[in-house]
Amino acid sequence: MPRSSRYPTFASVWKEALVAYLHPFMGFFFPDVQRDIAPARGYERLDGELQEITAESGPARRVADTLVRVWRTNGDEVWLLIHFEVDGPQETDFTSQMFADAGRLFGRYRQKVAGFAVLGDERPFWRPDRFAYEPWGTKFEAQLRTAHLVDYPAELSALAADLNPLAVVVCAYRQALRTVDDDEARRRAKLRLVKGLHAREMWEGEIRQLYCLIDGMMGLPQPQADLAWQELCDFERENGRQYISDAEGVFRVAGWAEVRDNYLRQVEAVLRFKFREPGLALVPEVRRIEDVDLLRKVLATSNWGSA
Amino acid sequence: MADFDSAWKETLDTLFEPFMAFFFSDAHREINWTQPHDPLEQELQEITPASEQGRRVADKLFKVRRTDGQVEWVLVHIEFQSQPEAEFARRMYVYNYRLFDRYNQKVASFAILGDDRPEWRPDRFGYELWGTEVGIRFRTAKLLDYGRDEAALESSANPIAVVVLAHLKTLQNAHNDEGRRVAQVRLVKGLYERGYSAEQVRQLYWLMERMMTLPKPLAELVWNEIHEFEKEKGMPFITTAERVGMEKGLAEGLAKGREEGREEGLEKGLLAGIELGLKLRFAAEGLALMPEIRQIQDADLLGQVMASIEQAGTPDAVRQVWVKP
Repeated sequence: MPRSSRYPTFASVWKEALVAYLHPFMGFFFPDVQRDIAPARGYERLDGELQEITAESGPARRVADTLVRVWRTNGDEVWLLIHFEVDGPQETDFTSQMFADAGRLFGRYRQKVAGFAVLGDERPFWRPDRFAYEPWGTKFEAQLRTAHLVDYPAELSALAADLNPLAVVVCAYRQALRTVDDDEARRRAKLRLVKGLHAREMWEGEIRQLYCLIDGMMGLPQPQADLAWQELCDFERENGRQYISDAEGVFRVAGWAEVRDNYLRQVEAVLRFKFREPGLALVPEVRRIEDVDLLRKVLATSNWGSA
Repeated sequence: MADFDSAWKETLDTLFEPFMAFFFSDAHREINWTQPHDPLEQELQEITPASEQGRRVADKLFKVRRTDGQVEWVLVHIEFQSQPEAEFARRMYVYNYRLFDRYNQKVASFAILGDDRPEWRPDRFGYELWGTEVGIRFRTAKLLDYGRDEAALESSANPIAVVVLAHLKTLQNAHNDEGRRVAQVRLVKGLYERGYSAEQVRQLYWLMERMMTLPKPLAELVWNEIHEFEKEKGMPFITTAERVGMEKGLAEGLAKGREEGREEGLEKGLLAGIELGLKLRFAAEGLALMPEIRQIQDADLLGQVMASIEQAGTPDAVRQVWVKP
C-alpha cells in the first residue's frame, strides 16, 4: 500500500477511538481539563453542528474533528472542538481554522468552544498551538491546547502502569507510523501490543474494543495478516484466555465500523422478528449506540429477553 | 436629534487619511498613502449581520498598502451610543471572524467611541477556557477624551479636529438647540482662520451642519450670520458659492434644455437645481426627497417643485407639489 493512502485510515480510526473514549482521552492528554468536566452529565457529540459549520471548508480535511458538549464541574456548558492532526503529506493550518470555527460556532450557536489538537506527526519540533495576528496593536488570537504524540511512549510496556485505554491507542498509532513501510515489523509490533493487552487488567469487552482499534491502525497485507492472526490465536490459547481469537468470525473483519454494523443488523433483525412493533420502536435508539460491546450486550439480551 | 452617522460616514469617505493621522498616528505612518486606499463596500455589506443592517452606525472597510507593500484590511467602526458592556465588543468580533472566514483576511480593527459615558471603553472580545483562548482586540479612541484639551483641537491643522469638536459640542448640547447654534457659528467662523481652501471650508461646513442638526429657524439664522461674516471677510466660500451653484444649475439646465430641445437635458438641470436647493434649505432632510423627485418625468412639474423650494417652510411643503392632497 503506498504510504499516503493510509492517512485517511489513521484519521478515521483515531476518530473512532476518540468517540469511544472521550473521557479517557481528556484524562490521558489533558488531565486538568478532565478533572473539571462533570462525567455524570456525559459527553454529547454534536456531529450535526460540526457538519453545519464545516460544510464550507472541504469535507476531507475534517475527518478527524470532533465536537462535543460537556458540562464543567461548576455547571457551565462548554463545547470542545478536538482536532487530530494526522502525520500526512499536507498539513492543515488548524490553528487559524480554530479561529474561524470558533467564530462560526459563536455566530451560529452563541457558544464558547475550547480547542484541542492532537499532533500525530513524528517531527519533534513542529508544535503549532497558536494563531495570532497583531497589526498596530489590534489582535486576532486562537490559542489551543495540544498534545504531541512523540512525547508519549510507543511501547505498551512503558505505559504498563497507565490503565487509560488511550495509552494503547497511542502505542498502536505510533507503532503503525513506524512500520508504514515494513510489514514484518508491523506484524511483530501488533503481537507485542496484543500481549500487552493481555498483561493489563482490563475486562474482556474492552480488550476486544481496543483490539479493533489496533487492527484498524495496523492493517497488514497477506500473507502477514494470516500469519499475525495465527500468532494471536496461538498466544491466546497458550495464555488460556481467548479474548480475541474466540470471536474469530467477528474480529477478522478489518474495521470497527463493520463490526458495529454487523451487530446492528443482528439486533435489528431480532427486534423486528421477535418483538415486531414494540421492538421496531427501539431501532432508532439502538442505531445511536456506538459502543460495540454494548451492542453485543443488547444483542444477547434481546435474544433471550421477552420484551 | 443629531445626525452623527451620516456625518461620520462622509468623514470616513472623504477624509480617511487625516482620520488615521488624527486618531492612530502610528498606523498612519505605516500606510503608504501614495497608493489608493480602496473602500470595500461590497465585502463589508456581505459580512454585516442582518440584524446590523439599518443600525445607525458608521463603519467602513478599506484596503490599504503598508509602506513595505503588504496589503492590509482596515475596519473602522464608529459608535455613538454606549451599550451593555460586551455588546459592542461582541459585534466587533463578529465582523472580524466573518471577514476572516469569508475572505481569509486578517483585519486591523479600529473603533471610535463617540458616546457620552466616560467609563464605557470596550477594546476586546474573547474567552479563555483551560488555557485555550479565542478572541480579538481592537484599537479605540474615545472622543470625550479629546474634549479635555479643546485648545489643542482648535489649533490643530487636521480637519478631523473640527469634526471632533463639532461632535463634542453636539453631545454637550444634545437638548439645547440654542447651544448648538452658538457652537456651530463659532466653529464655522473658525474654519476661515485655518487656511483651508474654499472647497475644504464648504465640505467641513456641510459635515457640521448635518451633524449638529438645527431646527429650521435656527439654521436660517446661522446661514444669515455666516453670509454676513463671509461678506465682511470677503471670503464667500459657503453661502455665495451654494447660491451661485444653485442658480448655475438651473440656468445651465434651462439653457441646455433649450439648446438641445430635449426634455432630458432640462430635467437634468432642474434636478441639479432642485437638489442644491433642497440641500441648501433643508440639508439632509431635504435631500431625502430626491429619490421621489427623480421619479418625476414631467418637466413642468419639476419646474413647480423648483419654484416651491424658496417659499416652502418644510420639506413636506415641497412634497405637496407632486403629492396632491
